[in-house]
Amino acid sequence: MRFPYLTPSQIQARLLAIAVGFVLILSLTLTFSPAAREQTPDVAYRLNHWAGVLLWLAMVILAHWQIKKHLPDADPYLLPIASLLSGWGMVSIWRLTGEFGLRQSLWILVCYLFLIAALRRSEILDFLKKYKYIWLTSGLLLTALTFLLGINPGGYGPRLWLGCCGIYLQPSEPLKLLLIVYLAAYFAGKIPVTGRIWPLLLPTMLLTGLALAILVIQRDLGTASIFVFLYAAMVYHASAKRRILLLSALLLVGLGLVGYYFIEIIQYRLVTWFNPWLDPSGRSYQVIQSLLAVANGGLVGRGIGMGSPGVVPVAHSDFIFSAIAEETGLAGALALLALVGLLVTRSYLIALSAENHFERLLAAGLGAYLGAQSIVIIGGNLRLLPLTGVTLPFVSYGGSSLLTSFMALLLLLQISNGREQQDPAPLLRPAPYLLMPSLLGLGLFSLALAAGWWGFIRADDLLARYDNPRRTIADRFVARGALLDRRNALLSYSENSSGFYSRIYSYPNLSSIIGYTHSIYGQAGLEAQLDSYLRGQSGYPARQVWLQRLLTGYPPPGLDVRLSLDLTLQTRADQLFDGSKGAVVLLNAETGEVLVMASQPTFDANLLDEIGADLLAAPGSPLLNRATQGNYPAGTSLAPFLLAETYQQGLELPPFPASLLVEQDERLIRCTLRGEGAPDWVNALPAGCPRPLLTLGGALGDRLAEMAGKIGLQYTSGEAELLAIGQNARITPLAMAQAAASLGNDGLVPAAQLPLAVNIPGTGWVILPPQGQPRSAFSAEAANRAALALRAGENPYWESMGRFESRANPIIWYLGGTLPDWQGTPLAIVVALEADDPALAREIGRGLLEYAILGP
Amino acid sequence: MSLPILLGLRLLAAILLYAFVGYALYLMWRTLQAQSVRLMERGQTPIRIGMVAANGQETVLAFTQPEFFIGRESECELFIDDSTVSARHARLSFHHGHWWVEDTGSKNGTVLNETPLTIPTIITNGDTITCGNTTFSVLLPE
Repeated sequence: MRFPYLTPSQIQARLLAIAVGFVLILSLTLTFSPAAREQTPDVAYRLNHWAGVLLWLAMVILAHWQIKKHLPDADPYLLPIASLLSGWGMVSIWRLTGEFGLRQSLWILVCYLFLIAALRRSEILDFLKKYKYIWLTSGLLLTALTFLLGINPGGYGPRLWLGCCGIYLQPSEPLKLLLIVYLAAYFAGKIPVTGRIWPLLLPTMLLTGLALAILVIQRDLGTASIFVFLYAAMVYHASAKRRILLLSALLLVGLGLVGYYFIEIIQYRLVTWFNPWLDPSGRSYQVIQSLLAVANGGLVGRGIGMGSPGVVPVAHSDFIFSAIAEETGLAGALALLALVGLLVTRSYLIALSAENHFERLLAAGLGAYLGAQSIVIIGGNLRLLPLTGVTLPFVSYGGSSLLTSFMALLLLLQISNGREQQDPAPLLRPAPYLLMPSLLGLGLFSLALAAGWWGFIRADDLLARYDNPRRTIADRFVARGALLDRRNALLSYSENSSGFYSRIYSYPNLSSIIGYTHSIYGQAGLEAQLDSYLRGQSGYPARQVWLQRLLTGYPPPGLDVRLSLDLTLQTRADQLFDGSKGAVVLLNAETGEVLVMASQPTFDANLLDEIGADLLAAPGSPLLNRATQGNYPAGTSLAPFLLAETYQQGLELPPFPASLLVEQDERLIRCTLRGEGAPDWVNALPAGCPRPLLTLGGALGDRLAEMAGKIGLQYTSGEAELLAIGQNARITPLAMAQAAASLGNDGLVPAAQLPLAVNIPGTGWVILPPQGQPRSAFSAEAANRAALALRAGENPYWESMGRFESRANPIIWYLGGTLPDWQGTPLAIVVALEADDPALAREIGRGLLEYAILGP
Repeated sequence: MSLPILLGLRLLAAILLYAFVGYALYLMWRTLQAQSVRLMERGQTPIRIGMVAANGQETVLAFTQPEFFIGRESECELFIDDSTVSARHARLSFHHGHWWVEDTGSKNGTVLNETPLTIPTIITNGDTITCGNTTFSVLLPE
């Protein structure tokens, strides 16, 4: 009987035409993709996958023609869906690795030839039914044989394969099919199921249990859980007893719990499922990389050949879904789920119109198998389910999986053929044929939601992770912005051309401050802090960033950032500081611009490849930026601020103490410098003499803590009176320099500023907003009086020193700055020297300050 | 430049993918629609049953339902007050494009054209069905 609308072969032909069109366009995109990836048309285009695609095309046409001839009434949707999925999978595998692509193409050839040869053999179904025990037993024996002869073609991992000479089969794949055939044949003879169900189930439970035992011993747990599901589904189809589903769900959860405590791999899988973020570079590496791939896909995907799905381990097999999601995006992922859904729907429709119980149970079982296996592996890729190593039917790499999928296709085609002529077998209880596809559909819908969650809602957060290798891959193909000093001298920049960009640090002594960007060691310092400008993600109009990412998958070229550093002064500071440990900060006291920031010892970021592994444990902690991260004890360096606070409060200087030194905890705290002449306030304070400082602090009383807060001193309360000599008080050199700047800046503590401007194409240098507001610490009068009181002889600057006494880690502080009436740029300097050498600290501080004020 | 071309190819691939899914769904819907139209058109052939009462008066009854019973029970669609007819004597049903008659375990049996019925049998125009002492004639369009 003809369809009034279209014959089945017409439907099949039209759908196949679209599927072929899709795969051809996909292949064409892959051919041209290197141009986008390497950002230049002058590239080698990818052509080798066309061999596989043409082979696939020939096979599809042949299969269509043969089905039209021999199975004219077969379901017309199955071949187009299977062809689309297998072609899509094959092109994706070619894209990942040529070698696997070639093998997959050959397997596709084998599968189609098998399908075509077996199409006309209508006796297959009866044959399967008749010898059901033989099939299942031989399947079990083959699977058991892997205990003895099992190998892994990859050379490591579970040994689940049989074969030799380059051809390997995984018997557990066809075993699923044999189990479905056996159960369908067995239950078909027992329908209608009445009375007690358990005696009926006993023989099937025995055989299924045996299969499960083999799989569990082999640790092929994904396949084992699919077996439990398939068994439950088959019993449910036959008996319509819903408690079977419930019981097997409980069984799976129970087995999972038992396995959690006794089987290492289950524990491993469950832990990485519950909380993958704890160990992103170790046990959860695969899952997180898979999620990153899905996130990178976004809505429309990066385009085939333009993403980086190769960074996900075994992307061609277990993670083919995330590879597809990365390159075709949420759009492709949802279409893939829809195709699986169509396959399940068609299988159940075929089941309902099957002419006998065996064919009905078989078709429903095959539908459940294709749906469940897809859900399990895609769920694992999307972290909706624990990860298991099963394949995606028709799509994943692997001969056994592909052949099994095509066998299922063949059986469905055979069952569906001729169902127009016959009357469907009676259906006693329709519930299973409605509930099972609904459950599978619900599963696919949840996967769609999960794909949307990772690929859209959480995508930005995921992509910003430092373990996202796409960032460093993009750095190779897109020039990163340069870091410049205040006169546009290069500090770090990317050189070479697309595909080979590498980072050059032209002034390596700044490595602790500038940091680095590196494929293995990630990012640090200003390279990390200014990453969004340097990477071109900020500064451009959002539309342009979006368009560039849509077209190429990369951000636009990075933007140059100008820093406030002065390379001339910086070089001078490093010369003076050479060989010492500590930090120097020179600020513009008015604006807070950092002119010099040195941290010693440092490293050479150009040599990160060689030295990177040892840097973290290297002596002297060269990775540390001592100027901003070195939280040094303040010691007796606080004289300028004590003095300013005293003037601020309108207090008179107390009587000068009789002694200069302080003994505390059996330690003698000394002056930092030996004073000249008779000690008095004028020479004792800048020399950092502890007793005068304590006296001043005592006169301030409660105001002392207030002062500490104003200059950014971190202290532990308790011995409040000792705060004046900096016991239990810490401060970074940068914060100390900001505080010192207040004496030359009318009592205002400026906000430190290091990045000054960013060079935006078409606009030019755009000044970056200051990173904070100056805050008032002292009145202008008090600050000026303090600065003048500390004036260094006849020099145009003030200075003051201090010391933290410690046998192991002594610190010498040098603080200085221009005087209030200085006509040039107001400056403030801080030296923190990790050595008990006050003369050297003063030499460095004065040397740099005079160089900055007076020039060379 | 090759970038917009590539973007065009990517969009085209996505469109084809959804065209496939959408067209498959559309075809499935059309097939459903065609199936329902076909079933509706195929419908059932109306059947009329003629019978001659004891007083010689002939009555013709038309049936539209796909299945009905002949019997002495008042629930039977073709209700005969005849003591030789069983409560539910015979079933007439339409399937596979034909009307079928089937004896439903009557005491005195059903006779089709003078042949006692043992299995469900196709009836054609002009056939006679005898239940007990009552005879019906089958009137079907040719």
